[in-house]
Amino acid sequence: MTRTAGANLGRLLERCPTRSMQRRLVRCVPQLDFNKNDPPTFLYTAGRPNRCNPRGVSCLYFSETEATADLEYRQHWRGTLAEHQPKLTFFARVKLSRIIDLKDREVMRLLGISQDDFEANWRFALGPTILQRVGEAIDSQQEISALRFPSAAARQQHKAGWNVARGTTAAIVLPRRVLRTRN
Amino acid sequence: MLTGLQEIKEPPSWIPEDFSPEVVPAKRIRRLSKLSPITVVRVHGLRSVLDNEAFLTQLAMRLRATPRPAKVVFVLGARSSAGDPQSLKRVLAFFDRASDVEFVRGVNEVEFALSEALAKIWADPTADQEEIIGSDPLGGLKSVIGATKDLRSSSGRLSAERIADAFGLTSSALAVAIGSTRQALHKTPDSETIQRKLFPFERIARLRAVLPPEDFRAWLNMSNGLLDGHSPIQIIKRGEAAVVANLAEDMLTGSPT
Repeated sequence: MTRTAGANLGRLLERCPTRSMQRRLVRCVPQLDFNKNDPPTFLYTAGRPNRCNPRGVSCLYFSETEATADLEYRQHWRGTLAEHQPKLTFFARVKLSRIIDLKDREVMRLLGISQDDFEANWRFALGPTILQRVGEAIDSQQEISALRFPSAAARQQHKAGWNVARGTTAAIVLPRRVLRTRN
Repeated sequence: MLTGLQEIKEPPSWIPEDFSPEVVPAKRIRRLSKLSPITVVRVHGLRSVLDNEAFLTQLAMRLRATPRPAKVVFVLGARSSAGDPQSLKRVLAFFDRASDVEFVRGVNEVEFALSEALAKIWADPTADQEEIIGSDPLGGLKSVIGATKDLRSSSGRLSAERIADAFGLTSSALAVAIGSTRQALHKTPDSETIQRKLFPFERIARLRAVLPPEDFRAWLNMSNGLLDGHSPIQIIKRGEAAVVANLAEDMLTGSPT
């Protein structure tokens, strides 16, 4: 992490260019009795760390397309029988007025994020990574509601794919009417 | 995170560079939903803090909303009075988690105080478990509960013996992985004192809701790109079962990584 990135992420976020997002997001999960769980609270990280949230910060991850969601799913289950078994696909329709898009190189430069940060293994990091700190800073304010970042699973397959991480500070209850499951 | 009653524009030189804190002015504290794991509060002395009850109240409310483990470190001026117990107690009275609040006098002590706070956070044995036990997203699913039923003894508690068997581990290897001894596990395999340490194993074994037992064992021993090429069992054996448990939950909930 660079000194710039760590110094004042909250303030840097205020200066960061943002954009809106209105689209359908996708997530694939194994076919368990999840569809009986309504609302699907298990979709939240529930305090588990992930690429864009440190431990203790709850977050909601989706992929932008079914193809990317499928690559994310397969990455987890590669080499097991489950890789090719039926799965559930969740769709969420979102309308977000301000998101940070890490496709924007100016945003990356401002936040001190490099391309390597998107693929680095965060599971063994001794402290929060720069992406986790950005996610934490987003979770700590109420103006920006999500972070768009490249999918490492897609990149490993030499494909382009994007994921979206949403913080929990803003109201992000998933109303039943905008969430559908599909086999 | 670094805050204080006086304006702070940049992290001062006495903050170790590794910490790179975000500077948050006192007036912005109320806009935060919670604090960082370590929050440094720069103040001249105890009297100046006690004169700003609104600030203390906001800080205490945000600490209450912050998941454990988290620490607030007050950095007092070097020339401030040593701090009589009554004044310290008055500051601590604002916090319902007084044990998470520390005081240091003078910036020379800051580096050590931050290292100590960080070490306490890392060493907190409840760190991984509290958040999971508090909001276990998979704990209510019948298929998941059924997949780990056999890991519990007739007492209803997790059994080290059954877990070792399910994971293909020897008692000695499991003992090392959870910081116990083979003799202790043999004597009381479902001891109350080891339940917390065995819980990550139950979270991992939930994968059997999707994978047949033999496939689960194979997965445990397969090189895994998400674990830097190590196999899950290698990570478990070196005492990091919680890392594998988090991965298993990401798999079951389809969380993109």
